[in-house]
Amino acid sequence: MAKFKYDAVIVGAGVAGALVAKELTAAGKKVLILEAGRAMGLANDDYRSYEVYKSYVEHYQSELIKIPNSPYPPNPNAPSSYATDDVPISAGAPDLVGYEVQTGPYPFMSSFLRQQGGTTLHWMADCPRLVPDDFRMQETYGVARDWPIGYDDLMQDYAKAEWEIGIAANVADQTFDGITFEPGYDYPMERMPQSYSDQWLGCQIGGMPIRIDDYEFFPEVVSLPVARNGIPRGFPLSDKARGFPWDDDDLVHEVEDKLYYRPRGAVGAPHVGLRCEGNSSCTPICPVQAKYSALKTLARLDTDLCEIRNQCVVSTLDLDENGRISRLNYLTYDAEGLPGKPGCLTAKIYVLAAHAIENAKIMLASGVANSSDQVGRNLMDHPYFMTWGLMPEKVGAFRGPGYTSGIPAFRNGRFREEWAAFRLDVGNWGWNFSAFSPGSDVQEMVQNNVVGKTLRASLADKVPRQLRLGFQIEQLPGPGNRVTISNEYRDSMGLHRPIVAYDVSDYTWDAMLKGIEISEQFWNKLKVKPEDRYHMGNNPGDSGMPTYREYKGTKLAFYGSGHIMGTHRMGSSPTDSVVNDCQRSWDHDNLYAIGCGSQPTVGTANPTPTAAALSFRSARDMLKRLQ
Amino acid sequence: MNDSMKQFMQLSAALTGYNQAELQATGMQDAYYEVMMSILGGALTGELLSAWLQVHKHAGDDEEALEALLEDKIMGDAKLAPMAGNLISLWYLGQWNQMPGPWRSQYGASARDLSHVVSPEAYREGLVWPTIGSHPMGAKQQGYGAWALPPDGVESNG
Repeated sequence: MAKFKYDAVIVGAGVAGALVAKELTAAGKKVLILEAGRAMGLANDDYRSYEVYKSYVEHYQSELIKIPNSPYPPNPNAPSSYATDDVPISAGAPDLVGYEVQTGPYPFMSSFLRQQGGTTLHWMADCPRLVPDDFRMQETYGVARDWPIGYDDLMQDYAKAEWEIGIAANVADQTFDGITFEPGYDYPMERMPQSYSDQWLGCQIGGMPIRIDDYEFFPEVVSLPVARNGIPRGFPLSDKARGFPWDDDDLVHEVEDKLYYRPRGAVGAPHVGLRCEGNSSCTPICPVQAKYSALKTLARLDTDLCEIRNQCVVSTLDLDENGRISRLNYLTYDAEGLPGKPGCLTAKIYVLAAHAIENAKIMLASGVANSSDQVGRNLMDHPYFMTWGLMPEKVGAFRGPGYTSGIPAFRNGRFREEWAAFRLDVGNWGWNFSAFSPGSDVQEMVQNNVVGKTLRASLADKVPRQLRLGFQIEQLPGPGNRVTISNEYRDSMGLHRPIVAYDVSDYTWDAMLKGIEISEQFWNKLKVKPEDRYHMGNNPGDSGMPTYREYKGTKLAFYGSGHIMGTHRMGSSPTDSVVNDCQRSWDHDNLYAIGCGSQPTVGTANPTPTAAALSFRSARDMLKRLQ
Repeated sequence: MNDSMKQFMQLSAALTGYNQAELQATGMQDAYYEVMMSILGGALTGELLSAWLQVHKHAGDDEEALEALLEDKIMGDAKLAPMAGNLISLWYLGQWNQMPGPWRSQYGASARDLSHVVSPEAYREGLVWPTIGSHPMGAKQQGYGAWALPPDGVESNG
């Protein structure tokens, strides 16, 4: 019998792995987390980690092009993907610019970060739940496939995730499209104040009927659940006995006759970031860490039970004669740019939590967990389409969190038989994402020789009137959208670079057309001049965008939402899914692949809360098996 | 303050629409002067400042005339306009943009003439942010809930 030093080894120090580590160590299990990214001591809960974090804020400020990974310099030993890597792809000529080898026809534009804290280091932190029909698309609408679990199976774990991550929202706003909550439940913090522009838009368009084909919608501007510190909500003391939804006493404290959530501040500087301060830079980086990142969970892990090793890039898993994982192989590097040194280790269970693309890559490179031939397939995102306009009056753009509201009216309905649902974002940062404002406004005016007081007055008049809508559109699973590997393409450590093939079907393109129709109805109501209306694909230069397409006579283009999903989907049968409803491999009973890669379909919810909820579910399964 | 710096600040004020005191309050004048001198050199910078002296002499304190002359004599001049445009970019965005290709082939392509943000401070001090009633994204935060208040110049809608 092998003697195990670790009960579990977790690959990847992101949110999914951190939550599993938290649950396993809480039960006394010994856990090792291997992180490929640089050792910056971010998860050490002392003041140095706060200083390191602040250096990333300065790095972001000094970057010319501010993309999601701007704060984090490239690391050749654990490369990440960068939004600036994406170029148009022609058949037979893959895009080799970045870490991913992109074979198209469209580049997969969503980036992820390989560093302690994972992609929560740059996420926007919007945290809606999936709606019940998202779990049963085949049953309800005859498209895609159903999950092996339903909304009700995940409801309690959503609650746990919302409390551990620390989400600001009101249950009263979020009860729509069949979303339900346990009696007495509410989010730990009160909803973020809705921005002035949200309020303005809500007053103008709230409840106005929108007709698209034979469907009628009544859009409302609704507060969005977000993982940003707000005002802690008070609960009756009697809830303490119940214990739910906090399974961690440190999350609440008593003040007079009520229980309050205790917000978590910056790692290493707990007095900082206890409330969102309106830095207007959630993505790429919250300067005060009022926004959750996995660092907050990592920093609180019991160091007697959990060890985090950085700069360990996992290469493969080995199998024993019984078809169980017997060993994990990795390369470690002493400093960025130096070659890797091989190492290996064993544990009772192995948890891949390295994000959808890396998880698939490791399984493919190892030749494990793939009897279904689904590993790496069904790669999905929420293709992100935008419309924007210049409002007739000031709405106060460029203030506050990226989003404080959305319009959920298009998240669910019979129309999903024909075209994709979307979650409609109402942006607070003017045309920043769509047109690089306000920098582009300055440059454009100067190009037109506008200077002096006129320049100042023109900017003051125009930019505060900018409003942008975002359409986070569902994409259906498909076998051709996939991550593969080939010995031809390797990184500087000699490990495989992911090869990504990606396309978008008419189901999703059609929804972009609906997005334009809806926007037009809004703009008409808002009295936006025809020449002040824009959408992606329709502007000078847009035909050079790598996702540009003329579709049914309309020029379109899209970005990624940063939601990388589907590459090791869960299912109810080993023949057509990679993991079961606990994210355990059908093929190897001591292997888990967790995170957004497990989603069989993507609905319209930003995936992190769902991945976090699934981590709690998986951790229970692991604990059963570790008994 | 030497004459050259004095003219640099006068020109900066005229181009940005902010007065010299407001520009000095950013603390960036030495850095931006240094960027101009190191990338464009003394001769070209001097030419820009001389042109400014002429404009200033003709317009006097008449703001409208000044702006019209700036547009004509500086922004309307193929050699001077990109330099003046970059000076505006420095003050408003903390950013230097590489001079246009034709300009570089005619007047010189400095190895330092690369698009870049001058420094984190330069980004944070960009004038565009106060101009639009906002704050630099990622700095000088306005405080919890400030985003829910009406923007400058808008009455509360109740």
